[in-house]
Amino acid sequence: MAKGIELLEKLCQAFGPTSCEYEVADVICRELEGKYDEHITDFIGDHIFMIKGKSGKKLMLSAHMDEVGFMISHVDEHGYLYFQPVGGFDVKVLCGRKLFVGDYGKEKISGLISSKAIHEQSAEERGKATPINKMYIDIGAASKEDAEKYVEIGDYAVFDSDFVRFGDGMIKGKAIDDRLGCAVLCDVINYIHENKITPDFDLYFCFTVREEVGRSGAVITANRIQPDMALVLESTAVADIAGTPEHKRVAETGKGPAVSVMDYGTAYLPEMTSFAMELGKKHGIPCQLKKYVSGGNDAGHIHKASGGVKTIAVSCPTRYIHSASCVINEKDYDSMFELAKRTALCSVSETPLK
Amino acid sequence: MADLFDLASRLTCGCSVSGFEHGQEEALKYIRDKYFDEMRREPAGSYVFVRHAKKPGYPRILFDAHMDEVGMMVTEILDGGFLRIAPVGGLDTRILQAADVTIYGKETLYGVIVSTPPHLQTGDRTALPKVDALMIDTGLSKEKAEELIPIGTPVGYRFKLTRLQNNRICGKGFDDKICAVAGIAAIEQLINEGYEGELILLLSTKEEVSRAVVAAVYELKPDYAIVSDVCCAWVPENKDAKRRTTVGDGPEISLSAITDVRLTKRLIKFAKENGYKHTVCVEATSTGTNANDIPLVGLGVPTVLISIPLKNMHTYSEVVSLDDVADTAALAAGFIKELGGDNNG
Repeated sequence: MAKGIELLEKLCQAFGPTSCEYEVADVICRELEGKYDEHITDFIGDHIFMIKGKSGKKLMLSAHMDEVGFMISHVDEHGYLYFQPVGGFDVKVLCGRKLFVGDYGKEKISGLISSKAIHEQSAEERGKATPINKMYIDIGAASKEDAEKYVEIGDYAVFDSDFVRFGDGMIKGKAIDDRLGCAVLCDVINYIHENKITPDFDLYFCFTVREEVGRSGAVITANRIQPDMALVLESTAVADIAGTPEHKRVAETGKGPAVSVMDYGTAYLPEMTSFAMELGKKHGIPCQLKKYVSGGNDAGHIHKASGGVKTIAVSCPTRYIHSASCVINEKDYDSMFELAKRTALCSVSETPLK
Repeated sequence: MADLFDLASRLTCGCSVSGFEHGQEEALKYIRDKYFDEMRREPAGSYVFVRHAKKPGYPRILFDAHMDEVGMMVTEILDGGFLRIAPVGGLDTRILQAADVTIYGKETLYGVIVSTPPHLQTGDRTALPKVDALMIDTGLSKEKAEELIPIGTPVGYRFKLTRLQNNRICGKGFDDKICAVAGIAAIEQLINEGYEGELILLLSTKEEVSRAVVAAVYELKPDYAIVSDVCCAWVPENKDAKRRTTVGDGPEISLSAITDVRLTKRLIKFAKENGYKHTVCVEATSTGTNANDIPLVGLGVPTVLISIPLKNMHTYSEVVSLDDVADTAALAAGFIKELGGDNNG
């Protein structure tokens, strides 16, 4: 799936914090040109690409385009930028990180999250992470006036982190959550297009906005489509690192999509969880249960939208999620793709809708 | 004027964790070929670059900057190819989790320092773990990691040299290789101006752990030493600090009872009278640099310290101004000529 990984890299490198997903959408629109029957967008920036099927039943496949980032809230007299987080962060992965600062359609400039040097920290300060509201971004500006030549309040910042293949088939990058889901959706559309397949379901490939702040574009997307069934493609935090007990690992990288049972947004229908697991088994796709109640995703909105939708979420196991250096196993990309493809190509009678 | 960005990029890209400064050979040869007659590695590991005098009678003046930097060392290989590490030098633990690193094993490998997912964090979520409680994710199996990464392998920050606004740059290892850049630029200027005395650049090692500089200075027996290191630039958290030199303010001359007060005062006077941009900082009893040790090497060496203001010291996001580097080079070159005039009127 070399092509998929190439696209994933392009998507991860795009600048797309919440409510600024346009650059990601541009990459997706270019990739999918001419490969769908209908393209619908809405006022907040969701994109839906529809491929007509035979049965008249609707399957929604969704992934969110936004990544965690920051919004510039204040410029001080020295030209430092203060910010608020857009999305959930572990404060311990922010200090020192390089960023791109800007907005859609604006040139991005480099900056970094700065702080007092270790030499000047007291013993107490050394053992503690700096709170987010005390962090600031240095862009090299000499004063407030100087900084305001490049940046204005409301501009965004995202991690500046390259896309690296390392170890035995591992990948590191920013925004894997959830550009991976976006890349898989694109790949499934490419597959259907290249093989001239007419699916049983009407397939609605949804690239949604605003997942990271919880007020998701998936709500109005699902309300618009009114799907019969939905598959959410996500990334999930895992802790398969040395020394972590089995029951706290959530899932393991390299062992395929983590199929959700329950998280903080959704108690999944058991029939949907088994459907995904069984489909994986039937086609020899490695799959695992997500063995921990944690996190949440667009399924939380979709399963309650438009009067209720049978929904399942499958996630790529991702280490150090919401940091500049998310780590995944390349094999899991392939398994995510296979499982999404098989779901998209199911006949209605093979699903819990029968 | 030397291309400062290019020199900074050449000097900061290889492995130079204290005690493992061997990854710099290519950059060092480049410097030797361009500016010097000889380069040698003295027994304690420091590199000495000499440009021979074109005329006798000049004093022997040494410009020192240390070429090592803080980093880590592998202490154990765990299941799943994770590495335990020990710090080399004073690491800032706030910047470590989920940071990119380079592992200088039998192959040069990428790694990322693990961060604990939120669901596994209990108690105080702002508490920072000690370095020996962290691990590096190599993405390798334990067997493969054992094959490629011997215990004791150095690990450095991985980074990308980045330009900020106002001719400032961001990267790692500027402590203290950015001062080496200033030294090289000073020497280039002296060469271009036809200075005929001997020029010695000492890129010393192990400053962050044991200050190996003394061994090289003992052998070189200089008449004067100009040490250049970085100093912590003022940042807003230091609200009450009296010392407010920051990036962009030019070189900081350190006035300390343990370097050479007379020579330093002469340097300050020289800078003032000739309009060199500079600030002065009193560090009465310790400079925290090689300039603490050089004055009492051998039969003693008159030493001054010129510092370049730097933010985020000991991180992969150190920030300096290339204007400050250029001003430091100009001041050092000017003062070398001034000292050279002593014995060669």
